[in-house]
This record gives sequence, C-alpha cells and structure tokens, in this order.
Amino acid sequence: MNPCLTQNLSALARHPHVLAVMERVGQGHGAQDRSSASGLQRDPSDRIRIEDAKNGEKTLLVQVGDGKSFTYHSRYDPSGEARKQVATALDQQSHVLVLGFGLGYGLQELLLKLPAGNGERRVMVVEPDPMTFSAALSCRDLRPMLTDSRVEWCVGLNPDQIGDRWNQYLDWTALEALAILEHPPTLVRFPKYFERVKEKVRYLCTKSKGNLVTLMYAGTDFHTNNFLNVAPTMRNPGVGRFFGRFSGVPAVVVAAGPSLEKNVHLLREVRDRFLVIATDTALRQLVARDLRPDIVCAADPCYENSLDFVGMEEEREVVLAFEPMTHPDIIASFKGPKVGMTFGGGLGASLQPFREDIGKVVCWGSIATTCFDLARQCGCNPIIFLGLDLSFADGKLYAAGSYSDDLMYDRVHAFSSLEHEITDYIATRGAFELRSPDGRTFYTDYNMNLYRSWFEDQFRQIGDRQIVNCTEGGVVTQFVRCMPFSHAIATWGGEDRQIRKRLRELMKDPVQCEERGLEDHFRTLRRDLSEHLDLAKRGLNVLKKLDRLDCDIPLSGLSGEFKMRVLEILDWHDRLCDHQTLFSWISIHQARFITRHTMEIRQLKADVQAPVRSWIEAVRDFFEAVIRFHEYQMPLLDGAASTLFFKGGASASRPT
Amino acid sequence: MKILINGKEFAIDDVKPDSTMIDLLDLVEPELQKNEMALMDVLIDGVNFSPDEREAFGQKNLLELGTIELIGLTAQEILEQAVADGEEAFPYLEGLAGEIAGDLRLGKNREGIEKLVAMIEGLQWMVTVLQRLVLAFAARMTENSQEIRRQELIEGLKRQIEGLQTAQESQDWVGVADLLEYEFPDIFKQSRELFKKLTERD
Repeated sequence: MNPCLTQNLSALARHPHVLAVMERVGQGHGAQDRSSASGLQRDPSDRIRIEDAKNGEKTLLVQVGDGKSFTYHSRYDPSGEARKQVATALDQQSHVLVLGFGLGYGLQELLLKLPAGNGERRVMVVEPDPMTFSAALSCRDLRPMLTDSRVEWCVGLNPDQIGDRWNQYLDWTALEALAILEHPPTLVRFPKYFERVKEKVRYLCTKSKGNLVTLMYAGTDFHTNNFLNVAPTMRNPGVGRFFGRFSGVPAVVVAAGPSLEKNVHLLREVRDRFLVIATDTALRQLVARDLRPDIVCAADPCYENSLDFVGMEEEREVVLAFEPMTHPDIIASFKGPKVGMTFGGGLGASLQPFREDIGKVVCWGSIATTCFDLARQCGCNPIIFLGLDLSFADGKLYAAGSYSDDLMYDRVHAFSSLEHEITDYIATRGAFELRSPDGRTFYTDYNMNLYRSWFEDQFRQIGDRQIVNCTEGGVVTQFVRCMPFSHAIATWGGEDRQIRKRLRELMKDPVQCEERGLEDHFRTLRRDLSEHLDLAKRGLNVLKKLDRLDCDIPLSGLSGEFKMRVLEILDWHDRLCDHQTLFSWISIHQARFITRHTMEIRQLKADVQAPVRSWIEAVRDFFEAVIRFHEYQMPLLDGAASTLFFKGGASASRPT
Repeated sequence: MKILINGKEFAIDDVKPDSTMIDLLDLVEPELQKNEMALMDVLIDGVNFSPDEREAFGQKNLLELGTIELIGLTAQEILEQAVADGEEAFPYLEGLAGEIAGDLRLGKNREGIEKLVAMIEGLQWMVTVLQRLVLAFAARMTENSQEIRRQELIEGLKRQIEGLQTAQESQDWVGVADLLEYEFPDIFKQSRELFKKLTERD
C-alpha cells in the first residue's frame, strides 16, 4: 500500500466514522454514493487525477462525466493560493466551518492561524466526496491535521448527519464568531449539497442561540418545577409505553392557530379512528366545542400557560402527557389520567435509572413540535396537522377562546378593544412577511418563523410516512401535502380503531420504579451539595488571604506557598465543575453566569501571561455562585425527597 | 456648419436640407481610403463618437450641427498610437488580470467573469497590434531579435488565450486564475518592452 496512505489511515483511526467511509471507498463503494436528497450527486464517471504543481506540491484535477476537467488547486502554488483564501476568510473568529477539503491546503493554512486553545473543537471540515478525500490521503501527509484535536471531520456525510455532529461536538458556550472558509471548486462541483449544508448550519446556529437564551430566562423555572413534580413523574407511566404501538394509525396534531376554527368541528368524525394529540393551548378550544383529544401535551413551566387548564380539571377522558418542567399546578389539579414524558434534560436523566423508561420526546420551542414527535414515535401514519398556522392569520393570534385572549383582555382599556389590542400586538411582532404558493401574504414573528423552519426540516427528513397539513391556511407548505381536513377524513377515516381503549390498556399496568433507590440518590446528592458548599466557603477564605499578595504576575511566575495556595484553589474550582449532575444543575440555575464564566476560564487558560489576579477574580465569582446555588437547591432537594415514600425493595406505584 | 478633417477645413458643395452624418461619411470615407487612412474618431459639437457608433450620430442633420471634426489615420499612425497607448494599457491589463485571478480564487465567479470579458477584449487588441506592428515599424523590425520576439509573443499570446477560453468553457476557474496570475504577466512584460523599444527609436 502507498506509504503516505498507510500513515494517514493510521492517524485517521482516531476518527472511526471517517475511517469507515474510507474503508467503503477501498471496497469500491465510495464512487457509487449518490444521495440525491442531500444534493450530493457525485457522478460515478467523475475521474480524479493528482498532478504535480510547478512548485513541487500536489494538485488535483477532476474530470467530470462530459469530458471537461477542472482544477481543485493552483497548478503553480497551491499553498500560496490557500494563504490568500484563508487571509480573506479569517479575522479573529473563534471557530471555522471549512466547506470543501480538497487536498487540505486551506485547512493547513487555517490551523497555523487559529489559536491553539485547549484542544477543544473549533473547526468543522465538510468534504462531500470520499474519493477526493481518499486522493488527498494518498498523496499528502495529512497527519498533523488528522491528529489536531481542534478539527471535527465530516467526510461523505449528508447535511442532516453534519447537523448531528455539529450539535454533538461543537461547544456553543465557546463559540464567539464563526468564519466560513470555502473551497470554491468543491462548491462549484456540489452546489445543491452546500446550499443544504449552509441552510442546516444557519438553522442550528439560530436554534442553539434560542435554546441558550431560553435557558437564561426560564432555566430556573424549569429546574424548580422538575423537583416539585418528582412524585408524579415517578408514579405515572411514561409515553414510552405508547411508542410504536399505533403503527399505521392516522394521528391528528391539533395546534391552536386561528385556522382551527375552520375545521375543528370535523374532529367529531374521527373519534376513536384517529389518535388526536392536542397542544395545551388548543385544549380549551376543543372542550368548548364538546370535543376531547385523546392526549394533551403540556410542558410550559410558566404560570400563564397553566391557565389553559383552568376549568379542565375534570376532563377524565383526556390523557395529560406532562414533562417534569411543567407548571406543578397543572399536574396537581388535573384529575384525568396522566403520563410522563421527558425532553432528555433536567431531572429526567437522574430519575430514569430508578423507574421504567419514561419516553423521550423532542421539544423545540413550541409544544406542537412535541405533539408531532409523539405522533411520530407512536408510529402513526399519516400525521395530520390542524391549526398549524404559525402566522397571524385573519388578524388573530390563536383560535378564539385560548388563554391569550384572557391576557389580551387585561390590556383592553376604555379607548381600545380586544381586536385593537391583538392588532397592535401583531403589528409590533409580525416582522416576517411570507407568501404562500397561491400568492397570499402572511405575517409571522421571529419565533413562529423558527418553528416553521424546524417543522419543514423535520418533514424533509421523514421518509417513511406521510405528513399532511389540513390547517387550510398558514405558512407551512413545504414538504407536506396540503388538503382540506374533510378530504383527509375521507381518505384515511376507515374503521373504528378503538383508540381510547388502546390507550387505557397501555396505561393500566403498575409503574415499575425504585423510590428507595431515588431517595438514596437524593441523599448522596445532598451530601455532595453540602461538601460543595464547604469547599466554596473555604475557597473564599483562602482567596481573601491571597488578595494581600502580589497578584499581577502570571501563573508561571508563582513559587513557594503562594503557588501552592493558588493551585489548590484552582483544583477546588475544577472539582466543583467535575461533578456532572450538580454542575449541570448550577448551569441551569445560573445560566448566564456559567456561560460567561466558562468563556472566561477558557480565555485565561489560553493566555499564558494572564495575571493571577484575573484567575482569583474568576474563581471568587464562581465560589459565590456555588453558595447562591446551594441556598436555592438544598430546599428543593429536601422537598422532593419528602414527597417520596419507601415501601421496601422494588416498588410498583399507583399513578397519582 | 464647419467640417474639419484632420484639422483642415473641408468644403462640401450642395448640402441638401435633409443631408445627414451618414451622407457625409459616405462622401468622406472613400477619400480617406484613397490616402490609405481609416476613420478613427468623429467629434460632433464637442461630443466624441467612435466610427462604429453610427446609430448614435448617423441620422443627425448636417445643417443643424455646428462643428464636425473627423480624424483619419493611416495604419502606421494607428499602430504608432496603439504602441504609445501600451504604456497605459499594459499596467491596466496586468491589474485587471490580478483582480480577476483574485476574484476567481475566492469563488467570486460572477465578478471575475464580468471582468474577464474586458480582459479578453484587451488581449485580442494585443494580438491585433502585435500582428500589425510590421506595417508601422517595418524599418525597426528588421532586427531579427525584434521580429523573433514579436512572433514568439504572438504565438504565446494566442496559446494562452486559447487556454483561457478552454478553461472558461470547462468552468475551470482555478485554471483561468492560474493563467492570468502566472502566464500573462510575462507576456505583458515582454510586450511592453518590445513596444518601448519601438517607440524609443522615435
């Protein structure tokens, strides 16, 4: 085997997903990959040729199917060309997205310019063609790049897979600014693919920013409610019991958009034939019309959203699917059957080892996204939407009767009306203008536009079932079939599928849970929390003494006892951060501070000349945050533990 | 109405009321050709037109115009002017080549292609001038080295223009950038030196 290739493959071992792709190329499969859905339409007749450039470096020629050939890198000075490209693209950004690898000259120059950092991933390389990558491995020593821990590799992946790796491997708290380094010949060769990649990345950037902002504003509510809802979360079955149990059953996801008023009455015709899953905001609309969904989903931690359930307490025909972060009043007051669900974060992960699987569902801002995911995981097909306007249709926010009307009423005064207040609200929020395929104009706001993007991205990926939008209005028109709800009923109405009976059957078995185990776990966490408090207090005392010494020198200039004390403090800081559970909790309770603190520590570690004073200030702030966190968390933990009871051994709990 | 040809007044008999610039050119151009001249510039009341822009000025009524100046040059004079223009033309073409190469290497294909049109026109101008240098500078081209260099430049230029066009047709923008950045500068330099040598002997 080519010695260059051998050495490179050996370095590639630390990226098994890329190695697997290269092995497929080696077996002759790489050239046949034609994923037209992602735009990666590599023609199998494309030929790749490596040539020597005039300066002795390598360049690559690609001969495409119709006989034309084009050059990937300068035939005179590939590195010089790459230097110019990097100089244009990079301007002190913290992270880089490299679109097109070619033979790696761009990445090579880039890594020389990017700060070393602490080895965390800062560069994501997207190369659509495994054959090109294989050619690069064969002709250049890529080991320095392949072993550089700052680089994440996406070779031969589709845009959705790239999105998954982006989510998994890039640290959003460290990302200050993103540069994009494009390799023009690769973009010319795969234009649609890169269009999709850029769209995906743009969408993920917006989503992550949105998630972080949400956490900063509402994280404490989420976290507090998790603990207040421990008992019902442990004692009720989970939506996991429904997963896969409704294969082929049509589902209707009922959202509360204004268009719901047009066709909600038709839900009467699908009782027990379609699985009807409603958002919390749609529940009152339905009950007011003497309609009942099979399942209503609730996850909002805010008091205002709990108003949707006022008057709904006795709806015993409806199953309430709740996330532990839901406002506790909803769960406590609702007398009907309940099932738990988890978005994967919060206390759910801590509770999971002590009970049967709850069932993880997706949430992305709007509870309608959760209802959709629940229908998807239940195996339903088709998945039909009602009321999914995601726009201000006909001058309304929601279908009439939702709690938002109650909130708007509060704004009405002697010189205005409900309609006036709603119109005023829409005028200030309706920043996006969209056109439907039939030429109508819709207005939507920033959040709803994000939800629309999310839904369309999900619909585009779902291949094994039909998505039908029966909203008869609104802005969701891509990757769905749009039709009147009456038509959907006529198409899929069919037989009585005994939906309610099936749900009851699935919920009837006692919940398998280990409340004693959970109690012990809470006791351990309580002890750890107390130790953290002690450590933080001791740390503050030590820091007071260090303040009197000369702190303007860098860490490397320290010696003697001063050095020992500082290193000890830094070690205590790291110990407090290393506790995965408690650190994740403090990150929610103090989202803003922890985000800023993490970036500060990263910068201090990267700057060898940073004075000790800066370290001391950062660590002091952290210890003070730990103390504030303790004051918040300890009563919550104690309260949650007190709601549990121990019956001895594994227990089966009656749902509450 | 006053008509000047190369600065000298030109009288016309029997100017009809509906006579236009086209009629004047139909009269003047054969005279110029007899003197082995080609019409290079048309100046009408201070506004400059190229002889090719007949649609713009051709229908103007002669009697409504003030001063009409026509400039005719012999082939030799044209070439001498072109060679003199080389002092400005070559730096312009060099700069343009660098800009286009830079745009294409950064993926700014649309900007690069727009400028490439002007580049190719400039290169074709170079080929024309080089091919006809003998007309204007026959005496000075008797030195073998000058003539050999001229021939080599023409060959090289034609070859590189062909390469440029092939790369452009294949959408091989890196190939286009390479030619512009690494091959043409030497041709511009040599052409400039040749032109300078020819004009220095004036």
